[in-house]
Amino acid sequence: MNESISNLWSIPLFIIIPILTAIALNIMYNRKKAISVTAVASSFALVVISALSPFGFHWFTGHPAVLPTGGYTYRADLLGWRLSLEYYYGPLQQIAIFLASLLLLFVVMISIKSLKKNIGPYISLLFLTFMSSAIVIMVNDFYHMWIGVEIGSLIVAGVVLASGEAVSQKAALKYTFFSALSGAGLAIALALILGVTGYSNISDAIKAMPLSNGSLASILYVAFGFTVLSWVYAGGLAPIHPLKADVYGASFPHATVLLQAQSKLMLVAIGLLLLRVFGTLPFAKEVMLSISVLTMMLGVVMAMLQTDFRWTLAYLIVSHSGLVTLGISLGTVQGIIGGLFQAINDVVYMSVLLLACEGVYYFGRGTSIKSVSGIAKRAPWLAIAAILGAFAASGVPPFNGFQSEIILIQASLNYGMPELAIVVLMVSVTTFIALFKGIYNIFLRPDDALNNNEKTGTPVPKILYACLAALIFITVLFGVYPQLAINFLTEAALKVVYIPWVP
Amino acid sequence: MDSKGLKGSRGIIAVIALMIIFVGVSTSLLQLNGNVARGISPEYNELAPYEAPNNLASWVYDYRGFDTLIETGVIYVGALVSVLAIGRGIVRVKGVEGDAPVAPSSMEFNVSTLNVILKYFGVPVIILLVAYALLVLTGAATSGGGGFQCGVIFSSAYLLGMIFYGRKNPLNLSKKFLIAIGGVGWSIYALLGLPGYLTTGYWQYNVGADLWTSGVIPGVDGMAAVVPDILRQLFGDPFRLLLVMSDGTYASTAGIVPLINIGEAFNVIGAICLIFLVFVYGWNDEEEKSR
Amino acid sequence: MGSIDSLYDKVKRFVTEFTSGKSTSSAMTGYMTGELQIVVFMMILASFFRIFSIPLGMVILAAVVGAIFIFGPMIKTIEDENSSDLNRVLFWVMIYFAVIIAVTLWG
Repeated sequence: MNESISNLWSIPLFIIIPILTAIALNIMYNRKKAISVTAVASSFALVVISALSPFGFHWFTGHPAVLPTGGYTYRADLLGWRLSLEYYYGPLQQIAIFLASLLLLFVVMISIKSLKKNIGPYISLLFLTFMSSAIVIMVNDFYHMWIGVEIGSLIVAGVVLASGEAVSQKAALKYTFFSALSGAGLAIALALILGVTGYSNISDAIKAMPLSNGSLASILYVAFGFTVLSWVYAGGLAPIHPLKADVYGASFPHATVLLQAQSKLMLVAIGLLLLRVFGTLPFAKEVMLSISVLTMMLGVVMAMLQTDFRWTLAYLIVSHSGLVTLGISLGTVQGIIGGLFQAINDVVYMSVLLLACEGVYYFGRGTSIKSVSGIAKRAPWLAIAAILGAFAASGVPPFNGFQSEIILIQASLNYGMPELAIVVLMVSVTTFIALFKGIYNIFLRPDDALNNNEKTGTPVPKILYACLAALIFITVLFGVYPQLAINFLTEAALKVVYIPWVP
Repeated sequence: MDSKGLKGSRGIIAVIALMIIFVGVSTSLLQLNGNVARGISPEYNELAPYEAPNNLASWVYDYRGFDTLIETGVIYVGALVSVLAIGRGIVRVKGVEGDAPVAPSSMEFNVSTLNVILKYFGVPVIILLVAYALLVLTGAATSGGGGFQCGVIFSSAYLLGMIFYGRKNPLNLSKKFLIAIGGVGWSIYALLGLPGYLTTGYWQYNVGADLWTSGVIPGVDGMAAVVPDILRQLFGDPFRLLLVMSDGTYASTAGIVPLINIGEAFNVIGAICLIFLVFVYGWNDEEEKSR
Repeated sequence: MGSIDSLYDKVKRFVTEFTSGKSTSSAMTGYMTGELQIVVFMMILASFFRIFSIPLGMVILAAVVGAIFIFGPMIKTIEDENSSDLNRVLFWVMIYFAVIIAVTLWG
């Protein structure tokens, strides 16, 4: 459990490879062949590295830890104050980064296939999205977490802007406006914690937390408030969910795959940080719980009202973020496992739905249920993928959504809050209704224009079907054999609850 | 945007909410008075004589050098995204006619109206500013300054040139050049981590200063690797200084910090000048191709 | 009009309050399901007060049921409050933050 390696070889590569690839792609700009070779090769390398890497720490710039008894050590399992920036790569990080890099590979392949000209800057932004997710999930340092969130929100704005429409420009502008608020909020929280403890390393700060000094509790509460603000912002929880939903809806569906993966990882990372640092304060979990419950309900109700399938998915992603944070904010081992598992599953099944939506977009008539119908006749496999994705999202066995939602329901029953279990059930049922409203209208409702053999749009690329098949395979795999994923998550949950100072 | 959101009773509620926030935050900030812990900083100060004479440079580019790498990325991404908003790299799906991309027009300004005095003072001022930028860059490890500052000063010289003389100004930098130099700057910074990574396994280990494997500081446990002499000399010796202090004389070197600053400066120059250039003249893909 | 309204008129008026635009059947199902969700959710929220004391929870639950009858349908308000208008979001962020600060510092 306590890996002693402080110079794990893989950790810098998760950050440096995307950076160098992004720079190269940005300079290449319009050379499609070079771009596709570079991008596919380096995203494939990331997948391989994340699968092969052992667990351990990396102390960037290689300064040792200061032992309390004097002297310096390079062993990460000894108690010592870190002089360097610390990253941790454990089982939770492995499964999260593996999935994120797999999605990056899929999204890069799809966007190379389906987009025309000048794709360099866009694909470099996709790589940087991956980089920011990897930073927040691995880092064990307040200051660096803030930088990760800051650069992450800037990148999100860029990805949304790249689709160039007026609606996406508006969405990006509004989103970056709020990044000023919550980025600064996280910086204030960082400053306060640095003030009372003197350490920016999270483990060291927790160890040095002056909990016995009652007058400092109010400083911690303010720091908690500001951190929650940035949590809400980065993950798109209520009340910032309309802005985040706009961001998801206004970008290309394939880009939303990465954006939602990024925000789920940020939710997990900042959520676990909140539990580790502030979990012992009274009211902390209650505040987090109420935000989660509101997000779930508002998201799912707003999803019911949408007429554009992209926006339906956008609000559902928001609503399911609430499921993730519900588990985390329960603060019990079972709850945290449920929340983390939900995050993993959510990323996968939402990707299925988003890629199916991308397929619909290729028919050239948008994704609104008013303007497009009868797709099932022209692309039956796309319809099947969307329906399977909808089953997974609404928690129908044998798909993965069922497994994590049942853990969440059990966790809230064990916590003594049957109401939360009811809300989870309501969310999954309403998800089903909202999705099938869209799926019926888009895929199954007969279409007049189709009968007239109207030809618009572009054929759905085969690579999209391949990615859909792979993702559906994962949903079924985790649905039939959930232990496969849970094995990766248990350790993180146990650490957060029992030894919060260990990353 | 509809401004009704904050009028009437909602406005009053918002003001009350702001007051609650203000009172809560300010009362708890007052609690901080006298309770600030020093934490890790004394340890850094103990190591200060062995590194760059400008302690701040060691903090920003060595101990927390990886933070600064990502911060540098914020500037790079900022330029990338701002220019994207203007039109560089807007993507379309093949065969799908979405809404037309929003097309911003370039700013119209006329340089011939400038008065003669400004026109003749412009060039010397630009030369002085560029010289100052270089001074700030080269002094990064020994006095205040660094790559960020150099980049900002240089780009202010560039902006001045653009305002005085238009597109054909003394610093006639093309968009392609600026994009390339920004990218090269960030990659120099990123790749300067490589020597340390390959020899010791720690990314961005300062092989020039080499505090921990050379035995300068006693009582270090667990670092098995040794930095080869050639790397230590290559990165360390050009920046070696003799620090005469009250408790002894230290042969200190900033190692890779000055080099990192050069990368940083390239990145900032590329990013900020590009933002200036594109915001003034717009971005046009056809025009770029013909140039 | 009151008493001479047939039941049909009353139902029709209630239903047309749900949407402002074109009421297609798929849009209507959305609004009506949303309304029901909100109603149930409010009742669940009210029942949370059982944690403090069970009679209080019962009273609040009854009050919420009454309020639903008086103020319903409220799905339009919910939709407006959830629009991505910057001022509205800013307003709710301020309210949230004030509540978090107030509850944690003085709760």
